[in-house]
Amino acid sequence: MAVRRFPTGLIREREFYATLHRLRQERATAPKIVDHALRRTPIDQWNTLQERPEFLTAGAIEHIGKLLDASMGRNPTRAHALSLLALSFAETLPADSYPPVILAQIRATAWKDVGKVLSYLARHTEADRAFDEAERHVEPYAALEHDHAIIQLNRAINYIESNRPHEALPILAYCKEVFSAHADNGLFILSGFYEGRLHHESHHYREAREIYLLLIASASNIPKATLAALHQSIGLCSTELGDYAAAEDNLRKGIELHIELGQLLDAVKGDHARGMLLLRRGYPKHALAVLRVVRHQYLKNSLAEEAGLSGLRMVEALLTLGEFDKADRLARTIMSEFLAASLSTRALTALGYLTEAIASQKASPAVASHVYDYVLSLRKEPEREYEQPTLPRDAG
Amino acid sequence: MKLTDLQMEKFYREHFASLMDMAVSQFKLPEADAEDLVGDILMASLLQLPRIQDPKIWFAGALTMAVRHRKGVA
Repeated sequence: MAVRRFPTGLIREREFYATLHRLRQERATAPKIVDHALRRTPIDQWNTLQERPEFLTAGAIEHIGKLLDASMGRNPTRAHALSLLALSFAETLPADSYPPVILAQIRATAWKDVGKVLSYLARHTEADRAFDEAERHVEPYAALEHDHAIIQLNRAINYIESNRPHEALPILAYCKEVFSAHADNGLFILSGFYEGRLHHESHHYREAREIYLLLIASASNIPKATLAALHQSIGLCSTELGDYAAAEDNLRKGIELHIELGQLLDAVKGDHARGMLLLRRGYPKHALAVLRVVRHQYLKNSLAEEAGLSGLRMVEALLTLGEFDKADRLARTIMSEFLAASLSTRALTALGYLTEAIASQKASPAVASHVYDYVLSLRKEPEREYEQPTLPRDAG
Repeated sequence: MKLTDLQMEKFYREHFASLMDMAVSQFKLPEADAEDLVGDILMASLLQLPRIQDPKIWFAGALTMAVRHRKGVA
């Protein structure tokens, strides 16, 4: 069928070219300006950059978004500061500075990035509110379904991380539909990955692993960051399934990819998983060596909870080796760190039970593992009460 | 996706025409509404360019999703 000719809407066409040229210019000049200013300005004074007109451009905001993505896996605190900076610029852009649909995209993306970082920092309720704001900006524009789906994908991830899997599932189905319609292979695969994560979080490790393996097998051009996450997740599932060879192979691949991408904290999480694998395989000394480095990295990045969790694995390893004094000292150190970071009082209670058990020589590696599982569960069920583990009765 | 100015002009006009045809013939949108929507879809692509693998599929998908998921469009 021949394409019918319509009047091209000259005003919109001219607006398109004008915006195109403007964006090209901004993209060419913004990175140097932004990088220079951020290097010279201490992070606690970034709010002073709001007064500079050269930052109030789509190009500058877009570049800050790229810096944020690069910081996420390495320095979440910096990523958070960048997200707030981009948001302040986006919200300050005059209403007539760009075509309305472009302005909506800029503001929605800025809010989405704030939500993304908050979710990464486990501030899930605040993240959800940020996604609400992002959605509010795209809502009036039917043309922005792809932007809407990106917001919703991040919201689904937030729900998965905060124990709301039933809310995540329909969102992921919608996301896959939109990304497939746009032939956005990368985000389609990422949505599929999170469908696997839903099974993973529900402890259905076999089903989760199958979804992950199918994604790797059936898709081409998987973005490296997603491939890294897939391998790491296959590694975790394989560990739970007792398939240790597959676990080792996939964790290694995930870590290598994360390092290649500069996602050092994600690589550390991979090593955390390797530490657990070594424990499961009965190599507590090797596990300790790996986990010591992991814990140091978490502490360096002010991730007290993660540091505590890796520390608990170390306690488990120390108890396996019969090093009760070291286990006791480490457990008490973890308690102090949790206290200093104002983390969950329920976690502190559980740690208290652990230190008492170690002191009275009633602690076993299983008790440390039980406390680990409990502290981890508090992320999704913050009101959950600690229950003492049911230990095997003494046969004697 | 990087195009010269001349290529962008051709890009805009070709895609505008085919999207308008799709919007009016296939989705039965009033012409004025179709022109607004198609104009927005093309404008929005300026910030989406790094993600666009196949512009033809992308724009057709954007139009289809707009009609399917949004009130007041169809």
